[in-house]
Amino acid sequence: MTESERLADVERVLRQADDELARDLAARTDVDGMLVRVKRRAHAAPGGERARASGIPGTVPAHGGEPGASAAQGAQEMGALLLADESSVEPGSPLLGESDPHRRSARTVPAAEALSARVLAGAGDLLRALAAPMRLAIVLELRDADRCVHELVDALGVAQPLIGQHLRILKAAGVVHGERRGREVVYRLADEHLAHIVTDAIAHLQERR
Amino acid sequence: MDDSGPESFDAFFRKHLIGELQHLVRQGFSEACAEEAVAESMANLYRRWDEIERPLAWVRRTARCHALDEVRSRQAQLTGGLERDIADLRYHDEDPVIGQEARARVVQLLAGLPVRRRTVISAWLDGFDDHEIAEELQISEATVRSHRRHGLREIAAKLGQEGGRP
Repeated sequence: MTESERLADVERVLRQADDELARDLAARTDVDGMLVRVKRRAHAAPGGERARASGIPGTVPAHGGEPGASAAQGAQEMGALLLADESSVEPGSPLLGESDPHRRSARTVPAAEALSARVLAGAGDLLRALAAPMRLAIVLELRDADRCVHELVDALGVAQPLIGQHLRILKAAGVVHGERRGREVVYRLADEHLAHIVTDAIAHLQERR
Repeated sequence: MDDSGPESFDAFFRKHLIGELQHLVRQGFSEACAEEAVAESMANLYRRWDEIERPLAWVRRTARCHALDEVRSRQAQLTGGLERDIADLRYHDEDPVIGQEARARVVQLLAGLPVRRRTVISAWLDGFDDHEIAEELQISEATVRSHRRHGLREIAAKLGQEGGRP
């Protein structure tokens, strides 16, 4: 293989990976929701009203809509951000969605040979996402109440970036949902099942002792 | 990249949001950091939409500054010496899943490259041609090509180490 063939090969790999990143980001990002938040932020910032006193051209009619934005203009900057963002939190996170279909007891799950490879792979991904002591601790924390990142940082006594990384993995696997409230994101467990998986594992170990 | 023409802010936002996030994430910023930085830039752009002539270039520049500020302020908040050394730009811990999966593949491949090589390759992936990159970075086109070639070689070596590829 010549040098240029080799580099063309690398380029292919690189572009593929880059496209993958773009797809992932597009799937995870709520563009319209963010557009609404960005405009509210612009209005809430000092001088925002002066620059755009004429209002919001072509506003997106998304969850909650405009009342939040007009309220935001009056309030102080931080308070306004909080107000605006709280009203734009969607009830069911678009990231992961339905958890109800998974609600069935262990007995109703068919034998392995009847399950598609895809379902088994999905279960494997889920267990892998849980497979770190820190993430188990996060799930146990969230069992009691929804928490934002700094509460988890305090409760678990580790650095915020680390918690953030673990949360991202849990989020990607659909274990937790994050809802933005003002400058913070509040995390909650996607469903009761997930707490059971963890508490059952712990109970299992304790029984054997 | 075409940066001109009358366009509404909404259309601009929808068209470029993902690309700008991607650009920062590819450079090694966390997704949360990228989102915050791009949101800040876009909010400022929205306020000054009528006066900013080349919005895409403007957002790219200011979002990067916001992202760097965010990283710096977070680093300043960290007290422990060890934690300060672990820049937000490259979190890591013992957890293999974090190492392998939390970072997008393209970020893993670009990680560790010298800044110039990474910048050139990143701009190239974004679709800028050599002339534009050279102008932006104030270097010659030959240097751009050289940075890219060396960068790609480095990535080739990385792929080689992982096995499978030459």
